[in-house]
Amino acid sequence: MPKAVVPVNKGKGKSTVQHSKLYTNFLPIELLLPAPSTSSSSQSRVTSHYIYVRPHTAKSGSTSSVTASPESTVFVANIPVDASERDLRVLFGRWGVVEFVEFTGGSGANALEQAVQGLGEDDEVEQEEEEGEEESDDEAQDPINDLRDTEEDNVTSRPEPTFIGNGPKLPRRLRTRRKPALPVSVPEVEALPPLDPRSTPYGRSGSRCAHIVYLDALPLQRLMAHTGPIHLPSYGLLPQSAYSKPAKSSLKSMASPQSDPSNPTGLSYYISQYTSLRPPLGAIKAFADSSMARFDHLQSLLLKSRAKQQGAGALVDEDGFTVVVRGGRYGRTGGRGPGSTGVAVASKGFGKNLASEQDDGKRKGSGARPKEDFYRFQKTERKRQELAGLRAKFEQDKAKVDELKKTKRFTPY
Amino acid sequence: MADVKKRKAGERTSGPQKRAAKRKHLPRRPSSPELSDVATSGENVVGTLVMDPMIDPDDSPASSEGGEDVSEGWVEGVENEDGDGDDDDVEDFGGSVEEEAEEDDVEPEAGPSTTKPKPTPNGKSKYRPPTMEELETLRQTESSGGNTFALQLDALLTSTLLSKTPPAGLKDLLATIHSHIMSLHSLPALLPPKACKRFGQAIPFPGPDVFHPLKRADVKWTLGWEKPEEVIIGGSWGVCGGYRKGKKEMGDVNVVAVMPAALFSPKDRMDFRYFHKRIYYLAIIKKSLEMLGEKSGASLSGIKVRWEDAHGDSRRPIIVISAGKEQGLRDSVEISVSAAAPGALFQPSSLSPSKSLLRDAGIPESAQTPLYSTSIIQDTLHKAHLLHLHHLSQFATVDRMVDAFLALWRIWASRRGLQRHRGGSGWFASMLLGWVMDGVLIGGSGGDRTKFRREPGLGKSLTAWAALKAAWERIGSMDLSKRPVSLCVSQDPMIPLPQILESFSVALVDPTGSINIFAEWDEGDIELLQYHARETLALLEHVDEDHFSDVFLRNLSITSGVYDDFLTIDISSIRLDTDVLEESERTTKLRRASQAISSLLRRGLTDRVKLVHCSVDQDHPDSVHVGLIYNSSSATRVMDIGPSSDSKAEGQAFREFWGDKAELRRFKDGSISESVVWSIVRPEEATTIPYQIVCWLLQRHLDISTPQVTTFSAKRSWMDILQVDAAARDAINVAGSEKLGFRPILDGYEELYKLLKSIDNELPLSILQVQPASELLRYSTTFVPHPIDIARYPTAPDCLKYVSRAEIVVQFESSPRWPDDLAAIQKVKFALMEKLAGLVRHAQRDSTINIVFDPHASEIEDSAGLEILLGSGVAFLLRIYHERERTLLDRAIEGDAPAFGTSLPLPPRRLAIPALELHVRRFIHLPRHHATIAPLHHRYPSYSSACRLLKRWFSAHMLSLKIETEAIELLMAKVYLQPGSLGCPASAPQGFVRAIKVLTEWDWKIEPIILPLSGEAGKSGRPRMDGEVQNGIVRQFEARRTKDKTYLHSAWVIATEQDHTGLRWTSGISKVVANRVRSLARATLEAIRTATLSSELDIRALFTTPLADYDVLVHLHSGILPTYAQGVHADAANWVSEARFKNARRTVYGDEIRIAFDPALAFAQDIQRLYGDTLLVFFDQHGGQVIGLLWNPDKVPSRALKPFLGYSTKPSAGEAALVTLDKDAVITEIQRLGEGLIKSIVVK
Repeated sequence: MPKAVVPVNKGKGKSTVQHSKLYTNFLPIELLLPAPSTSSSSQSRVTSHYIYVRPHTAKSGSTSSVTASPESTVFVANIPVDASERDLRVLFGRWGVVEFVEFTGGSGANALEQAVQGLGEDDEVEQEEEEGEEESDDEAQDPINDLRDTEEDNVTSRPEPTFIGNGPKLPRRLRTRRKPALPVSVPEVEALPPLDPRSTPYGRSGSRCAHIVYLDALPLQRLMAHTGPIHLPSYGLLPQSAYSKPAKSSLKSMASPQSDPSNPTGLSYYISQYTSLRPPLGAIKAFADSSMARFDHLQSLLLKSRAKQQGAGALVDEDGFTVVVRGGRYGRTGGRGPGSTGVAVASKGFGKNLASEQDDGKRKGSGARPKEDFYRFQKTERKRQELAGLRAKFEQDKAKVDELKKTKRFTPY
Repeated sequence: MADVKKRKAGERTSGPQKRAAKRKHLPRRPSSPELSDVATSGENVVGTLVMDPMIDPDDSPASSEGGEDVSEGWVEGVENEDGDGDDDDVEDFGGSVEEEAEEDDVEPEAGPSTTKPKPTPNGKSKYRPPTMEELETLRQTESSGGNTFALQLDALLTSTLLSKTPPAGLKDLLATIHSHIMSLHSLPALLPPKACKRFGQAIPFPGPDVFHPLKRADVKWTLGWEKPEEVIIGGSWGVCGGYRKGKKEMGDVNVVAVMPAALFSPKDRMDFRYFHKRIYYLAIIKKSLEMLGEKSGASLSGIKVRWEDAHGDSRRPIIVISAGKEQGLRDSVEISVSAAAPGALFQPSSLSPSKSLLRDAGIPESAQTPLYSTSIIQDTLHKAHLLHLHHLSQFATVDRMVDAFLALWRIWASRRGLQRHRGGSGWFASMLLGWVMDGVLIGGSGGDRTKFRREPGLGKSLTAWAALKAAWERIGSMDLSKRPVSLCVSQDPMIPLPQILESFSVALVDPTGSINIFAEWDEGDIELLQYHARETLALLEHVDEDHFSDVFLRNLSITSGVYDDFLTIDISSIRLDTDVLEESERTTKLRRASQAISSLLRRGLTDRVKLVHCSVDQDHPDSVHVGLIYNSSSATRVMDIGPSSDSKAEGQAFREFWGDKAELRRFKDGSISESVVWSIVRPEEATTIPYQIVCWLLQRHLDISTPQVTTFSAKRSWMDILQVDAAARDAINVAGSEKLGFRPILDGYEELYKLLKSIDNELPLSILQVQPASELLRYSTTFVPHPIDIARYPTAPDCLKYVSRAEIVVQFESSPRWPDDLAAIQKVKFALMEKLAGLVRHAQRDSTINIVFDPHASEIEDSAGLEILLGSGVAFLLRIYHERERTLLDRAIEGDAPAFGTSLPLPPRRLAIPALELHVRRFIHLPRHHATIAPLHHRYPSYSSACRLLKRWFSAHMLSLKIETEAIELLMAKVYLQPGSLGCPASAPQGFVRAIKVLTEWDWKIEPIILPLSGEAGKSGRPRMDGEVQNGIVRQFEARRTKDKTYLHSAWVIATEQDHTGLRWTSGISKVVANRVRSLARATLEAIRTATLSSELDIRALFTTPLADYDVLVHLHSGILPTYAQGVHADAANWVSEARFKNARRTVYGDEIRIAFDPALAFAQDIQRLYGDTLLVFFDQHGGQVIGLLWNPDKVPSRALKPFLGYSTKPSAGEAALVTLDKDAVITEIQRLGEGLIKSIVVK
């Protein structure tokens, strides 16, 4: 599949060369955004911002929703910090019909859920762990690029971000996505109201990237052939106000209906953040209770499946001894050894502790230790070393003082 | 092993040849055959080297031979026997022929060799057998405080002491002066008016007008001039050689002209006649020297001559000649010419200090003139003291020990700002050295001052450093008023000791037994000297550290940096009742005023102060400087209790002293006593009580009104900077809350604590412990958290609405009911909080409770707290600590957890690392830090306010986001726990100044701050850290510095016992910030220094930051900043008008109470978070109206595009496909992010 993309990509690159320069395969696009007017910089009402686009290059083996249709996906880099999903839709809508937008650097999924999802299909687990690294090698995962957001995590059952804008709702192409599902019996979590007042949270400047998936591959060619700046008067505003004058930003216009209430910025963002970070107690209770129920269920599922895998009953090691291990709420006995069925304490951690304890014991023991300075040469050697140490220290100190002398510290006045 | 053998095998063949070649080549350029010779030998080496590994070491003859060699070489190293040949080989190969050869020369004559061993950096030389002398040096340095101390001492001395042989120019100069004085023509004696007329110039006759020779009618004695008996070189220069006083400046040289006895009669000791004759004598010499200076061509031309008081004694002026380059000298020098009386001029018994040497109607017969007679005697002692010094230098066995002692004493004293005539001179040092070496007589045995016993000296083999320590100990520990000391060990002192003791309360008698060295000194002068000596010794008590710079290098002479309060008193309107006697004893008004003030304050301040030091300087003839060092436990006492009502006379004296302030009170125990009460409005003002007392007493007794007293520490504006304006406070806080300080929030905490303990049985898990972890609960927030008035809050203006909250950590018992999964633990915490919320609300009906989530937290980290606003108006944030989280996170990070059947999968490392960091910081480090810092407030009453000032300073300079509040507390703790060569500060501004000083002096590149936070105190009360721990810290620090040469990470290292890396609170401080702090601190200190001199200190200016250095300035709308009123330059109009017109209120925030809500701070933090290291963000969290931004210069150059470059870019101009930082885009982005907050953006 990826092979089909590459020639298109290269062809595009060459054909657009006459129009605009490519930067390591990226096409820069200049956006002209309305600048909020302040008293000092009121002359320029429009400022430019460059984004960089490139046809998506898929990495094999990745099961992200994006890679399902690599030939119609665009990778966008250097998105403005405050651009919302709707802004990207409006922008990329001019070249074709956008199916969906996905910001990279997702949240870490719940480890327990992943484990339960992987049950039954062993290879699935491996793949699951590779998630989040779907970009090609030059896009090495930026360690600081993780948008950590509890709310996103809590609603991991949500398969993809849903669009909350007023724009035309697009028919989604039916596609079977291999997303390992949880068993149906797992109770759902009653989600908290969102903690971030913005539907699209702020992203780190310069590291904010997204995938735009078009319905088909055609818009990609149009996009890569694009030249010249694009005026975006409706940036950060609601679509119906897109053709009216850009809003004057002042205290009064903060509450103006023109700005997008689902993506507030500035003071109104902080005010609504204050409220949304303090959800009603009832919602928290519901959330905590349902999360715990879900956790209990998932845990029992996991342990049950392990028991099934490794055989129920007491654990017997290779030599026929029964291994006694600490039981939990769910397990009676049972160990999870690497590969084999049930060598109970098969951990490096314990081994390490044991080893260090033994060392301690040796040091403490007053028994048969080699006597120090038994031979005369040992004593001479020790004395030599001591003298050498003294001299070395002397030299070191002298060097230090010389260093200090250079800083002209030792002036008597 | 194989490697060594290999080399050896090579040497065997190549060594000698190579050396031969080398010898031949050295003198001339090599010719070609020899070159090839070298080449072949070189090849040989290479060949063997390459070949060797192939050969089996056991059966190869070459290598076995090599093996022998190795052992031989080793034995040789141990035994140091000969074996030259083999040795040569080794060296030759090693390529260090020269060094080793030198060593060879030394080695054969091992033993007591005379040449000082030259240790080389070569590794092997460390194993050379030690010479006696080397061992001696090594041992000696160990005994004098370690190598570095001894070496630094050496370095300091070599840069101080000049050679003993005088420079030729100076010798000539002195010879000229000598011959000039000796060749002057004698003048016949005339009556004073005529003599003065003959002289032609005005002569500054000392003494009161009553005795002035020109104003008295009945003068019968005469003034004349004869050739001096002799002209000698006095002082230390002749004995000890010169020393350096300043850059290109040499210490003084004293020339003493001994006046001929023929000029005087025995009666001349009376009525200032001696002094008048003396000054006439000197005036003639001065005039002739001046003429000599004006004459061009002579060797003395160009010299400057002036009068000066000898040792601050205005009765005996001296002539000072300054000479320098013009006279052909390398270092400029001041030569003082004084006139001395011949030893046998007056009968010693007639000069007894207990007699009166003045005859005047206003002076009673029984009066004493001790200072007057001391002056006369002192003029006869030049030679005797010179002999004393000479005796010491002959007596001491250590080379130039006396010279070194005097030099070190002078340096030590001048760093501490001790005046020359108050202990800073070499002359005084020589007296002390006599005490240390020869021993003294000490009085006070059995409580009787006059009963003396002999204390032997320490002998002649002391080093200068040991003598110095002994001198500090003697002078520091001796209560000289109870136990007077006489340096005169012989049986027949010139003046009997009892007579001296009768006239002086404090006595240190000179070696001739004729004068009291402390005669002219004020009690405060002695106390100051003793204070410094004691503190220096206390500093040295801790032997593991290098105190050299504290003792000899740090400059402590900035007066406001030593005293807890420093007052400048304008004495132009002072009322002094002085008589002729007083005027003769203290001849200047300044001295008399200083004496009067000193005794008045000492009586009034009683035990509130440890020290009252009055000083005067010639530049300000109208002001007296008073330094006070408080007694921290009693300085702030509100009431002074006087004598009880029974004792009438004492009560009368008390009322007389205090005036209207004195009142009779009845106390709880039923006693009725006189008392004085001082009123204060808020708790912080207690520190101004000593100042109030000073003002009251000066006004009452000396007619000095309060505006004439300039204070440093008691200035109102110090505290004003830590308080919001009264109108702003009244608009939102509970009335009268300013009187309570931190009390309300602590009470709120107590209440909450009790509540949590009482609801234990209603919770599913019981509460194990509740720990405070907030600066609000340890008295160290910049602004006192006054409780808000909940009823009035909604109507308050927006710019006052900030409500601070205190964090508390609650730990529940550990139980198997806690899940073993990190994400699930958080859910359990939510559930527990919800439960707690219900219970608290039930118990506290009027409280407001919320569970507040942290933005941007991951699922596995602690992400929520319970926010409680109590009805009393104080707010708390309660977090739940579960200790198992740490284990789980550790396992997730290390990845080698023990696996059980019941183990759950672990979260990914990239989430676990920040989660662990947060957990450790929030639940382990913060509570522990709180627990160690909180007691400091109780131990040092001024710590809290000083800390608040320092925090205010950091935030005022827009460093709120850069420097953590805990780091500031540690910095301040350093000032109190390691006060260096001074005592602990006892006033907040003093603590603040010291901290600023620490910041300017701290060379963070090469030294960490090591704080003994929980160390036990030594004898002097200074805590110390275990030496092993400390060495470990230093080693860690050095290892880190060698790894990170550019200080990219960890500029500041502040280590404590709890934190050996020293980065717990300072890891975010970069080099840029550290440098910025240092330059700001320097500027602040400079402002304070100049202001103390001119006594006009604008405190607000110290807290006003320069904005010139920032690339971008983001100005914010001030009206909507909830912390606006806390700002340094907040404009009261912003809230006054708002509060007045309540119905026309414009509000953005509405009526809701928002706790810890500060959009400006959140905005600044968001900028830092979103732009990472592209921008440095500077902001003042206390009412800052501007955010300063600095671009990271590393990001500016163009580079190839990468999608995760980490900053916003645009295509750069030019052909290459490179991109560059898009500053405009970033600025407009920030403008969008701050919509509604930003007033304007200024780009430089």
